[in-house]
Amino acid sequence: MKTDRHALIGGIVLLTAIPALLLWQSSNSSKGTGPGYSKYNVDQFVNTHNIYFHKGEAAALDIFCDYALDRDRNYAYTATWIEYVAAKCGECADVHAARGRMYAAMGNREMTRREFEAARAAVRDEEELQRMEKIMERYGKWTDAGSGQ
Amino acid sequence: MDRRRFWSIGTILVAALIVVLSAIGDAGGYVHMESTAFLRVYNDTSRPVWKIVCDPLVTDWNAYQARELSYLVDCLDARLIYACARHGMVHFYSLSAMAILLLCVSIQQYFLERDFPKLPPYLCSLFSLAFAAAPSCRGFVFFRSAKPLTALAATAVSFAAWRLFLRRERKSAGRMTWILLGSALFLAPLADRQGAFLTACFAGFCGVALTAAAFGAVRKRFDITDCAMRKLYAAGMLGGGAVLFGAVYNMRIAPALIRAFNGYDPSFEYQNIGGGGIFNFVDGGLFLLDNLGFFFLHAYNAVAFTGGLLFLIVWIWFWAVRVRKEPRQAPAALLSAGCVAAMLLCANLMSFRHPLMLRNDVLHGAYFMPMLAVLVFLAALAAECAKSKRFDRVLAGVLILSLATAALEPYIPHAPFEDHQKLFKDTSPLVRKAMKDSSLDPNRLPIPYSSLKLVEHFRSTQKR
Repeated sequence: MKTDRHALIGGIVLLTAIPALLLWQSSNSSKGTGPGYSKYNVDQFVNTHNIYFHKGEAAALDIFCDYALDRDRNYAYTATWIEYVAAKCGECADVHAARGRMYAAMGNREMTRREFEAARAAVRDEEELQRMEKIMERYGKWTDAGSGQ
Repeated sequence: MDRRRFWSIGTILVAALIVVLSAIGDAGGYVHMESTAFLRVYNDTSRPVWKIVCDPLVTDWNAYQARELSYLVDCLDARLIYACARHGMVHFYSLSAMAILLLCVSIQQYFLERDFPKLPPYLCSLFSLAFAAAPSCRGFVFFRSAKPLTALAATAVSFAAWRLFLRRERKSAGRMTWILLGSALFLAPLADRQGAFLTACFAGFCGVALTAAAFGAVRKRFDITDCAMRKLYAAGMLGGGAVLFGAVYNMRIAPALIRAFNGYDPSFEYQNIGGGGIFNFVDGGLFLLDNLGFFFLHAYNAVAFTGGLLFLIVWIWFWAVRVRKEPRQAPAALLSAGCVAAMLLCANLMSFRHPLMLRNDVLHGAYFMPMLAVLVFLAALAAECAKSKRFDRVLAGVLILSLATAALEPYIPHAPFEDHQKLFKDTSPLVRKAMKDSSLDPNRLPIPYSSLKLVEHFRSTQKR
């Protein structure tokens, strides 16, 4: 029986064309022209912090507040999660600082001051105190009685 | 009704029962972390369906993979979830995942009944039931249809190709089998990158077969007639055409559609794995062997890996013995080895691209489903070639073990591992409640932010 040249050529064409086509596809490293993210990515980012709370990591409250306070219409959602963390981790410095930030967003100066003071009182070590001071720094006008609104 | 048909229909019904029981066990399912976004995306009635489907920025987190067919199926699933919720039946099931699993089982039974005459009916049933009960196939929570669709294509390609091989000498075209094979090969690349890989593997195997059969000595040795050669040409052309179509679709057609409908070019960064992925044998081997062991034992970590390794060694030993006894079975042994090598390569690339899939809470999910679909075919092929009652009984015993461990899985002790969906699983009853009861303020529920947005979006669609 003779060698079937058509079959041989067909087989070799297939065996070379397939890797070539795969290489062609993997050679494209274009980053595209889209924005790269959408509003849904932001929601997922906030979700990540919800997951931290679920695990009992109260320190995530600060970044959570950065995002949630801008988007929360009546602060009920932020309050729900702060109280969730409080129930899980206790009245720690992070919980008080987050409550203070929420009250500041609501415009409640007196409660902001009280919560920030409570945050200072609840710190466990110098490192945590530095972290709290850094958070509260942004709200100077709310904690310093008598200064402007 | 003859005995085999009775077994086939009975198997499909029992598989349907497994689907129903799994769904009942899931108690409405949970809303997956990413699905909180996808449900909103696919139910965005302000945009036509084709614009949503051709927008990987929101359907795939900008990780363009040219799998628009699966987005279309996801869109149908998501709309059905909203429609059911509007009628007070709030759930997060993917109807397509259930339907595809039953379709896979039906295709398996159809071909096992007709093309594997030496196999006892109970063994054919066990193949499908162990497949249906496998954790990688029982994920009925709405997420993505990409892997189930690829598993369906893998089932159709394996069994249809086997039928064409068996009927290689017949003059009749076997048109329906060709149509099934062709549609599976051409649709698989539109379902998932694993589907594109499946098509490439099929065409590659045809290339190897054509090259080998080109030599007169090989044709004489295996009695390959002109009719069989013509069918092999046709299969090779079909496979090659499907690979070419998949590549052109990925590189040109889908980007053009995305540009036309949504005004941007997709990013190819996620697809561009680089050569390093090919040699990612440690992770790929771990994925494959762990899943193999988990399928039989439902055990984790070292036990699963060892079980998988043991199974692979037995498989290699089986084929070595078979080929020594009957050298004409060498092509079947080579096909089995080729399929396992292709699975390993696929696992290497997947785990290189997405290392998180090696976490215990992700590892045994749908990523393995298309491979399991091919393994069902390979197991049937091994049993058919063995022609031994003892082998059938041993294989049946192993499959019964898989079914038993699947049923007893919650009671099998294992070291605890972190479930990254835990919060979403825990809070899904609250989300369902908020979707059902519009008087409930979702802002006062400790649910993840994207779940809150989902409830708000669902309510906004109800008002329209």
